[in-house]
Amino acid sequence: MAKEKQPKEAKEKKPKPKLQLGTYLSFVKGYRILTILTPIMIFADVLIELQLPKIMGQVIDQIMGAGSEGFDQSALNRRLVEMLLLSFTTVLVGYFAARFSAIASMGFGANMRSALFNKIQDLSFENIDRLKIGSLITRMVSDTSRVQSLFSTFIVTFIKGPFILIMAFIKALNISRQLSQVFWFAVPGIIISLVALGMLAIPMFKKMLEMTDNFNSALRSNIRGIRIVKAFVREDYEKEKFETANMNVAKTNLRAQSLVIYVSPFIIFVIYACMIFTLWRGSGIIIADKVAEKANGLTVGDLTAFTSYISQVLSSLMTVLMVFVSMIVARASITRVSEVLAEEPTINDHAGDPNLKVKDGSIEFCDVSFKYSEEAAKNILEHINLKIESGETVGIIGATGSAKSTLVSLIPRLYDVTEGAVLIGGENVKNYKFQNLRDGVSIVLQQSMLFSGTIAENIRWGKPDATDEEVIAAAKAAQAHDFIMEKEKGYDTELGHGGNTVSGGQRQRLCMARTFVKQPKVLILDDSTSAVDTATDAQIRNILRTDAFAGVTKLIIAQRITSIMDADRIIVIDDGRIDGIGTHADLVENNAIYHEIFMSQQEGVLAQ
Amino acid sequence: MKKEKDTPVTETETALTPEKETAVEQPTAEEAAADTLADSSAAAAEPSADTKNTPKTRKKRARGKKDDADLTPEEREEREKKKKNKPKDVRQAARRLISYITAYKKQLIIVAIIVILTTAIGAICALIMQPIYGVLENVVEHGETEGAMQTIIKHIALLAVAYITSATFSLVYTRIMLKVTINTITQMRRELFNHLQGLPISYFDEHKVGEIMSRFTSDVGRVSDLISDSFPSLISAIIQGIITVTIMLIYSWEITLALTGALIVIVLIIVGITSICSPLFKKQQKAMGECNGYIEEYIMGIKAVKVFCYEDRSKQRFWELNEEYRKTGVKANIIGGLMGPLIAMVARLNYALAVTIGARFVISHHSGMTVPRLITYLSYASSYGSSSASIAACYSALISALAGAERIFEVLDTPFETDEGKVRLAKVVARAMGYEEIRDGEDAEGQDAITAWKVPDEPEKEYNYFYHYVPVQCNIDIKDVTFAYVEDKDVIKHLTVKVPSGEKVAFVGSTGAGKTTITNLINRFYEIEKGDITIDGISIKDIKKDDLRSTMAFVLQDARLFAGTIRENIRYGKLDATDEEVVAAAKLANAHSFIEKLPEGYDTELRTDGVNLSAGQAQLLNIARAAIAGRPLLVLDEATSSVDTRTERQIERGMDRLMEGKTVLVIAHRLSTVRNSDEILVLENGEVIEQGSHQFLIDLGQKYYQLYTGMFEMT
Repeated sequence: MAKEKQPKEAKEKKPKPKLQLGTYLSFVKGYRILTILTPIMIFADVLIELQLPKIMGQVIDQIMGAGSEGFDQSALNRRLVEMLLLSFTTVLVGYFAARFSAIASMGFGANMRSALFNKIQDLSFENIDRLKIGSLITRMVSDTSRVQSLFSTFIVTFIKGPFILIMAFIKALNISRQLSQVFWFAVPGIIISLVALGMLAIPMFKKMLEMTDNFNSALRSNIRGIRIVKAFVREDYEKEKFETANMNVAKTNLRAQSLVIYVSPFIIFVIYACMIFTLWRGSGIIIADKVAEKANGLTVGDLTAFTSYISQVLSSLMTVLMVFVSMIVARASITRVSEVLAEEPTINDHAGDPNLKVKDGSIEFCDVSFKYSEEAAKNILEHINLKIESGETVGIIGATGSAKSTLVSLIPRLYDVTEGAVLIGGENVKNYKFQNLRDGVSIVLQQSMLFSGTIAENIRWGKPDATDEEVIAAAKAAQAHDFIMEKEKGYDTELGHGGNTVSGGQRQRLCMARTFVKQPKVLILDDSTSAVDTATDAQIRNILRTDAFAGVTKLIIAQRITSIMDADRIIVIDDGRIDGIGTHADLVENNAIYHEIFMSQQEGVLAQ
Repeated sequence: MKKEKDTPVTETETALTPEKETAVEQPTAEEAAADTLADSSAAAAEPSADTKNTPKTRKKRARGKKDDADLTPEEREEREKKKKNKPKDVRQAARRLISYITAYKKQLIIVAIIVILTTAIGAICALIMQPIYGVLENVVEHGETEGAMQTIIKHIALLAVAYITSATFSLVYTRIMLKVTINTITQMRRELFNHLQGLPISYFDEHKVGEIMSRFTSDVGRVSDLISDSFPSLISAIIQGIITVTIMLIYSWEITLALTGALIVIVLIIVGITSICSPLFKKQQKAMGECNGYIEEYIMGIKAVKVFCYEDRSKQRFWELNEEYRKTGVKANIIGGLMGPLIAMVARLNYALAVTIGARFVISHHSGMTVPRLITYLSYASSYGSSSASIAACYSALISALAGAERIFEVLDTPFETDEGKVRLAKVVARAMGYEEIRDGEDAEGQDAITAWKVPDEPEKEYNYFYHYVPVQCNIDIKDVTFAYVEDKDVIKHLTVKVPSGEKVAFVGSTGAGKTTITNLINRFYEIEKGDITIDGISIKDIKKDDLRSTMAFVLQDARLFAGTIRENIRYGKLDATDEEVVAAAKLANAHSFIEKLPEGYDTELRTDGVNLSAGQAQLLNIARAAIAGRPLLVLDEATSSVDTRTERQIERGMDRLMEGKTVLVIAHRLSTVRNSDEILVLENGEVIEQGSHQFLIDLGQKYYQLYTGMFEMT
């Protein structure tokens, strides 16, 4: 994350998202009452806790008074019953507090995760490219759990601390105004020290979190690249690198935590000073009252009650301090979650007509220019004009980075054009609803992504209600049927997490089957046979020429000329421009780039 | 592949049938060697660590990894059985954990003393305060105001001293503990990482990155929580408990007895709730795991989701998983959250009890109870409750830390990759009598030093004084090698190939034919079980792994780059390379031109995994990295699969220069890259089905011809 916030990128970024309190409040939806009840339960608990010192004070005063005025047995019994009742209420209140806070905070977390997940699912390719997939996963998995635990600490502890403070303060005030003077000095002192701590600690904790991020990224890149580490015998070098990252975490951690350690004794010190002041003043007042023969003044019971209130104030302040620290730590997580929540999908289909379906596979690019971000200086695609008839087979070839993939990704509107328009079936892609557009236009992406579930389930992605025959037909067309049948469970074979139980070439074929089952009007293959051997690749191309695919417009991006040389037309892309269009024979003859590519792949054969 | 690899692991672990049991009892010689090695090095790394446990139990434990979800009923039953052994593991983990902390004996003793003093002072404070109340009682009841204030001030001053001392002490000990904690976890992470670097590739193939990462983050975190918070508060709570109980006993054994009953109730509550909770928390953990797995999969695959308009379905399914996680979480947390209130209740009941009994004692003057004594007594009674609550907190921290520690030790106990080889590399010069070794700093006296294998004359001996030298030429001889990742599923069958020094041999074949496995065997990422591979006549098993790998440069299929600058990434092949060498290597790989175009050129920072480069560019950097290494054996595994053929052709000359004078192994399915190899082997299902030069194989007109002409069926 720290890495991603490099200075040059920071400039590109939109203004930092605000905390979005409203959004977070909306996550409480459905649990609102419980969220409010939790602190109320906690308040009740606090009230009980605050009642005890008072009762104890009364008991002491009664005992002390026993000598002179005769002991009131029933009063003492009443106190006992009160205390027992309070103790049992503690459990009841505590149970409800635990119950309400568990339901509320888990509910808050669930709502937040759902909202975030749904938001991510709605984001456009552009948003995802900017936010980075890895970072999105971290945000969803670890940052949300940190925010959730902050929420639960907040409703349980954070509100409790100040509440105890205020209540204890009021109680103390009731006992003796004179003694309460002590708070006028203590409270501001503590508040100032907390604020100072916050100001000092935030940058230190930020630094620590940054170092932790670096540490994690170093670790992850080592584990992922372990084959390279071992192949180059760089274990010792890696150990050194790790040591630096590890020590940086340790150092910043020590610094940040030490600060907290130095501040907490200060708070304790203030509280102790209060205790001493109270004892001194209190004793003085009691003695003075006695000397002056004043009745109804401060009693010894009052004094003991007062000192217990002070220690309650102490413990509440310590919890406030702890919550404070955890808030600082969670702040980064809140920002990261907020960032995603604030992200608006750059592409939406609100303007689309739900009744408009792709009627045929004709494609037209009208003066299309494109760049990935507004800030980019140069267009990736420059004034593309192109017309493809329905049912045509078009090959696209060009060097790595020549924007072949970019060109085709505009057709199913994975990205929006910067200038110009893309028409499918004679209609601007922006006029379709995504569902209708992408049902008609189907692309097999360069990266083959499969999901947990059986092979059949994965193929049915393209058409949820496909019959078994349709699934098998699609698999056969993609040359996947044979290897599927070799598996023990055939189409019911579980693919495992991310489909990692099948090899690269097999994954590509399953991805193709998934697209074939959809029977689209436009079929785009983005270098989707790169891991498939030549023989299989040739068979797939044969299938694409059969009647089953007759009406389908086929766009094939390939590295190998053989994959596209039989196309009706071939487009040569170079640096975001169309360098030439024509048949294989045409281009070999007239296009320098095509000729060069052809020769590079042909040499061996001609040499025979 | 991954799933299949898991299978034998579970078999080893569950050991259902007698034969399998023996399989566990008698590890192969190799495994035993690996274990001994791990033992000795582990012992070297941490001398105080417990080394008594046998390699066998370690191995079992190290491999005992499988999600509950994957278990069949029988396996689950086995696992239940296994659980009975668990306390032993936990105890071992605890012992080892203590050994880490005891490295800071001095600090810990200081902390313990300070904590004891602080606690004692805290306890004494109540005693100091008692006379104040005594004086006040006299004032109130008997009107003895004379000299009262002086006595009180004296005691207040004493109290102030006690308070200041205790605040200072607590500052000192928390600071020391913080340092101890940070040092301990830093050391743990260091050991984990260093150990990880020595583990075999199979370990990384079997474990997910996130799983390994969590050892460093959450598991170490749990241990850290235990050390920093629990150690001092445990000592403090125990000491406070002892002092309190003693003083309370002196004052009134009757009340103390009643309070002890309360303590027993508290302990019962803690144990009861913990045992009810732990299965619930495990359930929650599992639901969370499923939820997170889904998140990972569907965010990784987000582009496919969009292309298929799968959003509504994925949202729906996620909502279900999320809801499951929420429900299990609520259940676990409600029960878990009850512990606090229950303890609080007992503590308050206890307090109420003390007040009422005490009050009666004062009135009846039973066992000398007075009001000041009662006040003091009550303050102890309330701290009695709080110290038992903090012991409860320690207990749950301990349970969670031990679970974390166990997982950490599991990694540390995984045996290193076997490396019993004794043949090393050395710089030598040729002399009339043979080769003479040039040691570091020695001068070759004008003669050209060459690299040679330094082979001990009597390899079976532990120490060797006599060696002979074999110049490194990289004559590779693969002799009848059969290999399987999973038992009975041979990936390579009876492979025999000779790669003479300086020649280029290519392996082709369809995906899954076993091509990449050959590279895994040559550099000993995986160990050969049947057959042998020799390099310059020496079995690779006899060569020290680091030295073996130092002779090879790899360009692997999976173009991995590291977080860091482009320059650092190229320099990875040769750490002391000059900037000129880096540029030269980049030019050779045709990477220079695109690097130059980047705003910061060679100093461009690559993010983790080099995501800001295209796959093709990443491969070019991989080639540059191999080029700069300048090693005599070059292994290219689909080195240019993501590079377009035009660029490939442009780097061809560079590649030729790179391969000049080197032994080269090429793996490719793009046949244009293998045409000019000296020998081409066509693999199918792990067997060589055709072998010969390009021309020979074309003339043969079989599989190679088919593969090759698959490209040219139109012409």
